[in-house]
Amino acid sequence: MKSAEEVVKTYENLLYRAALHITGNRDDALDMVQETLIKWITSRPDFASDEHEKAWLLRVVMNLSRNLVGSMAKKSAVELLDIYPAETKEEEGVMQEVLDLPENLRAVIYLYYYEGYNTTEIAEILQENASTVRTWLSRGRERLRKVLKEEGESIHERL
Amino acid sequence: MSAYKDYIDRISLDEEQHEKLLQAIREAETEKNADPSSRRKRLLRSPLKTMGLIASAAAVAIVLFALPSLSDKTSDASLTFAAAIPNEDMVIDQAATEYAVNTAGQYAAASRAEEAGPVEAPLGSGQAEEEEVKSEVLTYQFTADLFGKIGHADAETAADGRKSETPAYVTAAPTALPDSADLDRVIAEILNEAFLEMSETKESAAFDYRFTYQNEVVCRYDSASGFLSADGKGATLSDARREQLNMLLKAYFESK
Repeated sequence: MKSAEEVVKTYENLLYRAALHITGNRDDALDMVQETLIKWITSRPDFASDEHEKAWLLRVVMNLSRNLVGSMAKKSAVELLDIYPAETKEEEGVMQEVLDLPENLRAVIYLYYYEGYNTTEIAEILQENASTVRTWLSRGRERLRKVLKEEGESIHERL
Repeated sequence: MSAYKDYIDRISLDEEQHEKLLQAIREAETEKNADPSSRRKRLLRSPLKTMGLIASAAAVAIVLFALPSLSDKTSDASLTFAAAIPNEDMVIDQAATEYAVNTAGQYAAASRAEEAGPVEAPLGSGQAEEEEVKSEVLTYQFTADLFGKIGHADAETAADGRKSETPAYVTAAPTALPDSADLDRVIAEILNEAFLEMSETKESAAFDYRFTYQNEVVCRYDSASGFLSADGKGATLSDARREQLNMLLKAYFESK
């Protein structure tokens, strides 16, 4: 069983990125990470593998973040790009588009393209039906494709 | 490298955020270690709605799994799970339920009954020892909507923070439950977690839980040894689960 500090060190950035991706706000994201880790401490789940542990933590942080965002007025993605400026125009463009997506599409895009989960795994993490997740992924791609196409690049090149 | 991944790769906590987080986590852990009852208090503040848990000084009954639709032939097949517990001040931690939801959601932990060492002093199988601790009886009655109950867990208290009334595992109705091996695992884990949680709040407690089927003990759970056969003579966990627990569940599903 990992110590709390080990878990913090191992997963803090993973959780922070995921939370930030959904909340778009650094303080909110940090709160979500903290809350997630406290849930881990209080329930101390005994996972079969590190992958299970990672998935559980992602699930918690994603759900908490989505709940938070759902209870707030939509935030602009500008804040995130102010805090963590893009290094290239390309980065800025694609991040702006991703962060402008609704939180559900953003979550799916993040888990699929950044974390590398398939739609079945994403469904488990987000506690949604796999078909719903596939629909969201398709919509997210479509939204991004439309924008990116205007800029003359394919979605796969950009993501 | 994609622009998207490049950007996200650069996001990380700064030193100040890292320290702040570590401090908060250390405090949370210290608080939990120093005062196990704080967790209990926290959980008690949150009504045990999830599984309809009822705790009382005299006895505790948990309706987990209703069997309302059993045929006449099996109508007395209520699967009860009796436990001898030494203390009146019995609290069942909701985290056990929460964890059950999580494990059922396919983030399965290895069975603690197989991996964990004794959590409390062994009860042993002798009658005299059993009598000593049998000051109360905790009965788990498995009834038909274990999964429905979990599925309607209070949104505010779900372990993973999701405000949903349909955790992944329970989106299916009982008629579409996973295969028996999976169900078997889930139930064993639910029970193990529940017991470990209970033992956590009652340090002196030793448990000897019994599954009864038509008034006969068919398998037992000893806090030190895990699952045992009815006579307490060392059946393995898998024996107990597959041959006995499944038999009862099968009766239920066949009756549907």
